[in-house]
Amino acid sequence: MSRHDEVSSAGWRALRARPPRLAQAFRWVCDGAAIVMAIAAVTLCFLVLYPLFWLFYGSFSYGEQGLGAALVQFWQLPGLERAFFNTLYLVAGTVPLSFLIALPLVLITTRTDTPLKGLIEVAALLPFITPPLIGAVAWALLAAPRTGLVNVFARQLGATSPIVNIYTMGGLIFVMSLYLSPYVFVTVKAVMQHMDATLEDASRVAGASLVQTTRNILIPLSMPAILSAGILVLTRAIEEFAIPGVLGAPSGIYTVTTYIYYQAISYVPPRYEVAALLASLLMATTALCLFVQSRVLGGRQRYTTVAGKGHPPHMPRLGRWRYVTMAYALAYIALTVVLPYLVLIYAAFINAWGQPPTFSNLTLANVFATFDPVLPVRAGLLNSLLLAFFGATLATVLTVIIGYMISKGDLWLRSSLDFVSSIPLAMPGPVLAIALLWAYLRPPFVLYGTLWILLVAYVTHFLPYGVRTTTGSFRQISVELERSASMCGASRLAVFRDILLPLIRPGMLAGWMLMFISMIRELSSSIFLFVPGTETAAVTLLEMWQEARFANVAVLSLTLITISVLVVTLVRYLSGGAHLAGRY
Amino acid sequence: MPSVRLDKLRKTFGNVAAVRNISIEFPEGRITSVLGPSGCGKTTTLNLIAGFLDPDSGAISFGDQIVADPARGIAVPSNRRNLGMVFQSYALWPHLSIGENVAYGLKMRKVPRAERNLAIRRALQRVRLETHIDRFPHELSGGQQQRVALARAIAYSPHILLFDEPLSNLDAQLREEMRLELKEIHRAIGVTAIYVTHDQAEAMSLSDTIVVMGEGEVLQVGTPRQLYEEPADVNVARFIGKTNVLEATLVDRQQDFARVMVRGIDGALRCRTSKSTPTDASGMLSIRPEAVRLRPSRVESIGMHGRLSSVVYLGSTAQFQVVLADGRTLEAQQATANSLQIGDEVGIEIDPERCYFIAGRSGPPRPAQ
Repeated sequence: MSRHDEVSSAGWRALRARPPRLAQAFRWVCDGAAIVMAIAAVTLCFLVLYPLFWLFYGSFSYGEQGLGAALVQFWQLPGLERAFFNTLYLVAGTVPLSFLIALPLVLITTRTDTPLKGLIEVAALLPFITPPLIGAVAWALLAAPRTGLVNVFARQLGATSPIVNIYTMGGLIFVMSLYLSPYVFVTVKAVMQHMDATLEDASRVAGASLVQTTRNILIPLSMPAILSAGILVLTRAIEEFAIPGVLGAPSGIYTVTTYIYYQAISYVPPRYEVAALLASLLMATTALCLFVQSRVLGGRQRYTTVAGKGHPPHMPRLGRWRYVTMAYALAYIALTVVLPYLVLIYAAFINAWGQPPTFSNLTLANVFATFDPVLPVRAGLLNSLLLAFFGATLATVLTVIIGYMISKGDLWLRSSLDFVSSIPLAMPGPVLAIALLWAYLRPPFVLYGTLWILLVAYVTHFLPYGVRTTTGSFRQISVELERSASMCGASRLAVFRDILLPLIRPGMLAGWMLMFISMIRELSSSIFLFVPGTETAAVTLLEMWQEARFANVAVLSLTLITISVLVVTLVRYLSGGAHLAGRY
Repeated sequence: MPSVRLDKLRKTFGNVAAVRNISIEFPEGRITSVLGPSGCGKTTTLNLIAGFLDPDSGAISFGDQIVADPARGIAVPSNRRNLGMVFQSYALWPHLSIGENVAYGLKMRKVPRAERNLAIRRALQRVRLETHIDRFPHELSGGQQQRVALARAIAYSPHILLFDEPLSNLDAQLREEMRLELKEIHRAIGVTAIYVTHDQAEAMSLSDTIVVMGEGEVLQVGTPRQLYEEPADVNVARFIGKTNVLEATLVDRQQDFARVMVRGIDGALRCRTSKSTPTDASGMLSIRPEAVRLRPSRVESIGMHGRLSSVVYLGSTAQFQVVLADGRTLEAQQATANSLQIGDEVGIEIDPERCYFIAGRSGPPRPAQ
């Protein structure tokens, strides 16, 4: 008892000792935190709103006459109508096809006893690792009408005309669907996997067959996820640059994004007003899609199927059919992963294009040639590494502060920061790039021609994803964990440093990693913003592709993939071994 | 050890008054329970004391130090109130070991390492978990986690300990063990403790004084016996144990007992009441189920009759429901010796020792749930 008193009064004194002399320092620290938060909020608003202002300003400066006349003149730009319709065809083909590919995979992995299910589940996500640019290049190497490997070998075997041609609308839709289907897979699978299986059991007990249950219960209950995935694929297809750039441009199939690049920005002299107007239209479309998606997800409460209760779904036995489902899954893996990577490896190590891949025809010369300083590859790779490292770090710091403010701030702060930080979601790479061109070509902030504009682009582009994940991480931490710390005498800053930061660290690392590997391969805004000397890895890749340097393209592609895999492994290693198995 | 005093404390959320003008003094060195159904304002009160919420008006003081008083612009932040708190969810930090969890408050107080280690060891010994010092929270059972939370709260020897339904996540048997352990630990360290719960058995076994709250107000402060035998409010009578509540009027007093008239019942009933209750006061009569004695109807001398509508066998006792002539029902509980059955006519005797007349609060009684 007396000992208790001693410690108690000592502790009490320590806590009370703060006010008079340390009060100022304490207040300063508080203000320090406030200053940091204010800086972060201002930075966020500036990053997002300043270019946005210039984008709108730019769109309205098109045409010298009134709005109506300007729009007529705009619509008559050569090839623009075609580009609009091409985008429409592309979307109309890609959305159904990506579902056709992914939905069976979801059912196979969540509702059947197909062999190799674990492998299939992992492999279905692999296209995520492959940037669309590299996927498109690989498919061009495989199936371009003259130089594609399939056609080359067919010619050697006596074919007189190309047997496949990827440079067509059909080819575009095919490759696009392959690379967008993982979005469907992930979104729909998340719901189907965690759905209360008793709902399906009830249907079976009521006399419905497996197929009827799937059609009448499973699919309708997954509808919000399916719609949401559909809108996601739609948005991605509209804003995609690399796939139409590589597969469409050679045969003159332009979409809106590639039209902006080839017919507005690369046009001599550049038509910046046209670019701004098109970018604004793209942004409006994306914003509309996002709005619809949020409404779809907002109405999700009606489907309260993912409850904590219930049991995992049964895996009906397919009998002999399970080999059919396995074959389907393996074919998907072959088309998305195996074939593209094989052709890249072939291109990287073969002596001369079209030779049979025997051991004597293999060489390492391509590798050395690719990193020869004569080519811009080394410089581009270095630029990308720098940009990705600093971009991901800056974005992480910014998003942690913004996420903290959103999850702990009052309602006004929360909703306004949330809104501003999600604006870039509606700005696909090309749109953001056009906005930045308008904003940073002119005083007071002349960043064009430096790496800074790319850094700004990357940080802005990936902000929303970072903010969402950090906000989510903060919200997952029960308020009692903070309260118990402040009971122990911890100030707000100490609570943040000792409790919150360590708890969100795994999420932070994962977010950093995602941003790093997304930034190192970034193409769709870099291509608009680079100048000779500030090329990024993806930009040099595209440049060399246009110069038909297949071997260099393949080596660089494999290098980029390897870096991504290494970073993922490293971060896994760093955050692994932690004792917190996600238990809070 | 300071006492905790709440003075005309008020807190509203939007239009809802969670705490209305409450004044309580929690005596120093004792465990005082705050008891009430969910939504009665007890958790809000605790959060106000902890400093997680600021009152709209009124004052909170610890001993002679005011820690919250909006009128004077005083709002000492939680971390400088020198409190310990045990949460319902344990709230152990998952990224810190047991030792580090317990050490945190001592580190914040800049206690030197040697002394700190001693205090950690002592706190963990008190909850009998000193061998778990290097484990992590998720490796411990729920009961162990709650004991670590207690050790963390007492390690830096705060003046005041707050408990927010700390045992309600544990199963029944463990809860009873923890209750005894808590009481023992409190006896050893003797801090001022405030224990919020909705479990009356917990409140009664842990504390000498219980504050019963309802709808943001203090209904009664008293010992467990006072609350049960002399409830100041019908809602207290209803919340502490079961009871039958009938409208009644006081007729006269004879020594310790009073006589009341109950509508629909011939003759006056004897009961107890507060000394200050005036004659002719109207109010409510609370009849505990164990005060209702059922006799086979043949006994002639009894004035009250009814028909048994339900019999529930509970082992040592049985619960009965009796429908009176005018349709009202009475609950009775008594030993299962006699063999009464549903539909039997019974005579009813009331034990005046277990009946209590509460003046005021007229109007139709709310049905007990």
